[in-house]
Amino acid sequence: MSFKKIFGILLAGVFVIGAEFSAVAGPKKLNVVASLPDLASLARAVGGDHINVSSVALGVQDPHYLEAKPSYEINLSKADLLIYNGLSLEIGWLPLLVQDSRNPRIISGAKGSLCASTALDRILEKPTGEVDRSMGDIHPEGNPHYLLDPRNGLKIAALIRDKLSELDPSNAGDYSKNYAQFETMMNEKIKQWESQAAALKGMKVITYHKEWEYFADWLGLNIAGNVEEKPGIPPGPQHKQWLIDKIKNDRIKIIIAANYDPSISTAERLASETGATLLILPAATGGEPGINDYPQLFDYIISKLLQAQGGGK
Amino acid sequence: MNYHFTTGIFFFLLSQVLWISQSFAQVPGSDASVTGISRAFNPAISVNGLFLYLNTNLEKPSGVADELEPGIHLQELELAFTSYVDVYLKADATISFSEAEASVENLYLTTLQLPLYLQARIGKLNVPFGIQNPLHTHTWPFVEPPLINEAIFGFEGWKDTGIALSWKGPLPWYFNLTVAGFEADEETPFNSSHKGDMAGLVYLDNLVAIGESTTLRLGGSYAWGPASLEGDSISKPGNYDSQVWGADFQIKWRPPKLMRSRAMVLQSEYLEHKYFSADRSISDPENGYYVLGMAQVSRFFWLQARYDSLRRPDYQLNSPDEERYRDRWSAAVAFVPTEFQAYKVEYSEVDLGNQTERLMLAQINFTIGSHPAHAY
Repeated sequence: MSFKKIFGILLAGVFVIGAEFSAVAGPKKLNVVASLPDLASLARAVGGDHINVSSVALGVQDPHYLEAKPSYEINLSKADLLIYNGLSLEIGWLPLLVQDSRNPRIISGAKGSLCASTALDRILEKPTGEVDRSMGDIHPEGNPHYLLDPRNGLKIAALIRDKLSELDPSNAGDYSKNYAQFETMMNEKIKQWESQAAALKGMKVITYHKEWEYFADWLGLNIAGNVEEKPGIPPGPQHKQWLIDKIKNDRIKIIIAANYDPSISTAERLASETGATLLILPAATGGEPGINDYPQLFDYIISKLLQAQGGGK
Repeated sequence: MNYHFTTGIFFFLLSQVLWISQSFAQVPGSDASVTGISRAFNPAISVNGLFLYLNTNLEKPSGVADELEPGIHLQELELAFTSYVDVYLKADATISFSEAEASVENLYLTTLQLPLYLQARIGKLNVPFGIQNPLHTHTWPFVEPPLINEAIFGFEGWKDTGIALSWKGPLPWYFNLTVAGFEADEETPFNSSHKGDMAGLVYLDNLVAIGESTTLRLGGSYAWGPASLEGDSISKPGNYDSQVWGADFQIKWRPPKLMRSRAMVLQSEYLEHKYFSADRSISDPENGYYVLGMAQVSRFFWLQARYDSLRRPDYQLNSPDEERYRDRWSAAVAFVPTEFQAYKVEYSEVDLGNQTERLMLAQINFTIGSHPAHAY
């Protein structure tokens, strides 16, 4: 058999299989891909049954360092809407995935490309001067871990409602209704979490990476230092000694690390040398079994913090 | 007017001009719409540097950089630019400098808005043949390319000017079919002396996710085109058809919970090259394969090993004493403190038939600026 025949048969086969998969897709729903599981959870809450939602990153993965796996492009190539965190959090992998997805609907500037950070009116730790890599893995646009403040999640849910209504006006009423329900639920939960965490206000903590700044800002925790010497950079001996002195002198009881932070052993040694408690927490939906949506993430984090602080269960 | 007086007047006038221009620069509201000068749309620019130390028991190394003497060298400086041209196109340019030469390594446009999962690349690019060939030097797993890649495509790989159209099939796994045509005038198996001759390429790439941790990759490449041979390299000078085909396999494992400290890669490629004369007689094939394994054993360290085997036809042998087979074992340790720098120490033993080469390489690799993410 000639090469041309083999090639022709192969190509025809692919078209047939491709057509089969297109045919079983069922009634048209908006395909939404979120870069992060928290954003997927917010989209699910607003979009309900009118959308198919998937997340590129898992809750146990560090969103700074994902690999641009071609398998991620399969969902992106069919997406009507891409929701991403922004502030350069996904800069190492998302641009490549979007380009190689061959999907003009979600490229930068297209209707189906939604940067969630545009919903925020306040971004923490935005550098005021020149930035360079001697400062570590610094984000020139500011700290990107804003999803750990549920009030920001609510703003993003409203942004998603507006975008879904624009892309799918026939279901705009349902998106508004879903959002209203989510807003009511979240406002109640936020009051409940703030009340539970009142005992944490002013408590000094050490965090591994700078991902807890928005969370601390919301509940009034005082982050006295980071295990990382600079963002993304492990501590040297001098910084470790500074941390030990700081923890002892300020009687800091808790060191917080996300469960995807690398070199947790460094934080463990710090805890054992100072008597502080190392609290390894999920930092995203799906970060631990049982955290199936965005509100459950805060239920989990706050309950663990209260247990560690000794103020509740 | 004496010389000093003239020089004094010149510097006085120059200082006045600079002072006046500074005053203008500080006028509030002067922006690009007035000045026509803006940095807002500059391309992302990066510089990658490779320094190489090499030592060998032979007078000259047989592979790496056979033009390099033992010692420390600037292996490569790569200057990369990338930006959107407009809403329809993205452009990438890579210029590389070594101690010996400067060259435009890549300059190509990528379409952004083609329908039906199509994407076109037009310009000079690393030809998408297998796994190794499309990689830039600073992303190679080992300091030296596989023996078979180097034998067929040269140390730097096959880079050429042409057009590549790829189509991603709407399948439940990653399926990418590339059809391409390249100018046949570079130092590759396709080096026609006739202007306008093209080499063709078909590359099929499949990646299947097996769970969250593992990805299996299987690919096949086939390239064909004209070749004009000189002297007595095969049997007689003249025009030939040249064909190269390859098969590649890769399995990557990286568990999501330990994604920054544990990973494994097992990878292999087989390549074969033949010349066909006008009467369809076939030259002896040049073929070979490599198998490599890489293991990330901690946040910063990788351990790597590779076995290469190359079978050379008679026309590639420099003397009758040379063996038709060449084998190489390599082992490397890489220290990667951040994504912007890496240090690699590599040891190779090459069986040259009548002697064994022992080669020690050490490479420093760093990047500054905004460098685009590398493909998976």
